[in-house]
Amino acid sequence: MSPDSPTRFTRSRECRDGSTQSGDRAQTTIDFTVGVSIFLLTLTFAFAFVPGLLAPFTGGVQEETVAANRVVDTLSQQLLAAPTQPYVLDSYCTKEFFDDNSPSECRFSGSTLQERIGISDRQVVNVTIKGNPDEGENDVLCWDADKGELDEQGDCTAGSDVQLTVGSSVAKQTGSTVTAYREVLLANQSVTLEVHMW
Amino acid sequence: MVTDRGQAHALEGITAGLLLLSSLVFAMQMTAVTPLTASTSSQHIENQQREAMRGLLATASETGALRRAILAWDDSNGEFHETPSQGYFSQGPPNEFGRMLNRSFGNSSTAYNVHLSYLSRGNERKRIRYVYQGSPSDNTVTATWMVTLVNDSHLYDASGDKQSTTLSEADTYFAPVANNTAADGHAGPVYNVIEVEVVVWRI
Repeated sequence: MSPDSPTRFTRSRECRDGSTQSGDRAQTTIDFTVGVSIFLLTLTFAFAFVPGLLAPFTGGVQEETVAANRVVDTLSQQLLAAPTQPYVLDSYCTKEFFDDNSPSECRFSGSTLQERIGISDRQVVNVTIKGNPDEGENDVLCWDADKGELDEQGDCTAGSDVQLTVGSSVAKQTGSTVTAYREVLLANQSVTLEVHMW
Repeated sequence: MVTDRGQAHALEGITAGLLLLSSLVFAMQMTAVTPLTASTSSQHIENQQREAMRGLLATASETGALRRAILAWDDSNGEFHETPSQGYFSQGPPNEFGRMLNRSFGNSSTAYNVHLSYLSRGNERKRIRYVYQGSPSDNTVTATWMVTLVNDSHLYDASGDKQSTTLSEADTYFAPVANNTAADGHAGPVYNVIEVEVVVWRI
């Protein structure tokens, strides 16, 4: 046969009704199934994956993360502690801070909590001191004025006792919060200073 | 491969799928996972752990608990007081420093190692394990604190009371006397400088 004969590669039989069959092409229905299903699977995956690409750009708690870190740094190293002795809190100024006062001899000033720690008034914040003076669980502490020492929250009932937590209540918050914490020394005890923001 | 029937080959399906995936990968290059994206070990958590550990070391050094923990050496047995048989503690040691460690980092989601490094006789830095809780993961943070020991430092016993033995009289202390002879041949008062290194990670 001559090399340029077209009938050598495209042989097809003519049926009686005029249509051509391609039974010589070695393509079956399974071939079609595999090809289309692979394509459709990939298409579905691509459509489902694209919304996840935009996740880093949606609004999260990124601002509050940075602010909470800065606030707890400022509190534990400059406002409540002497800058020459960081992480060692001054008992009197700490007690006044949680009692919502701004004495002149302490390093913070302002009439609201947000003013004292240097954040905007719209920002919701909670500052707490936790510890376990009685070797129990980590609990919110209070300053017992009669005994002159730190105690667990439930044990301070007198009016002059100061609860060492100030700001909005964390328990009522349902969204995501950011917490920054430091280990500090207060009244010769190792306690944790926590700042929550949301 | 043109036919009358418009039917896809398997190869064409695979090629179309590959094209879709590669364009997706190309589009992903424009997005980024920032360091503050929430995950089990984000940068924020590591920052908090490092600063909290530094605050804990500063607090322990301020009250003297760190120095007392290093000097709680049982000279007759050649180890720290109440060390388990493996030679190091697996949680906070039974002294004030250990109680502070257990309170802050003894919860179920944080692990820590404490190493004590000292100057050996050959003027190299060697270190021993004080608390060991396993091999750290890839997202660890470290905080260190230096404690200077003098020849007249007293050892402490298991309940935290000062003993009469001083470091110069101790035979089995883990750190030897560092070479610090002055120009006139007189030995200085410094015994050794211990570096307390704490490694914290999330588990």
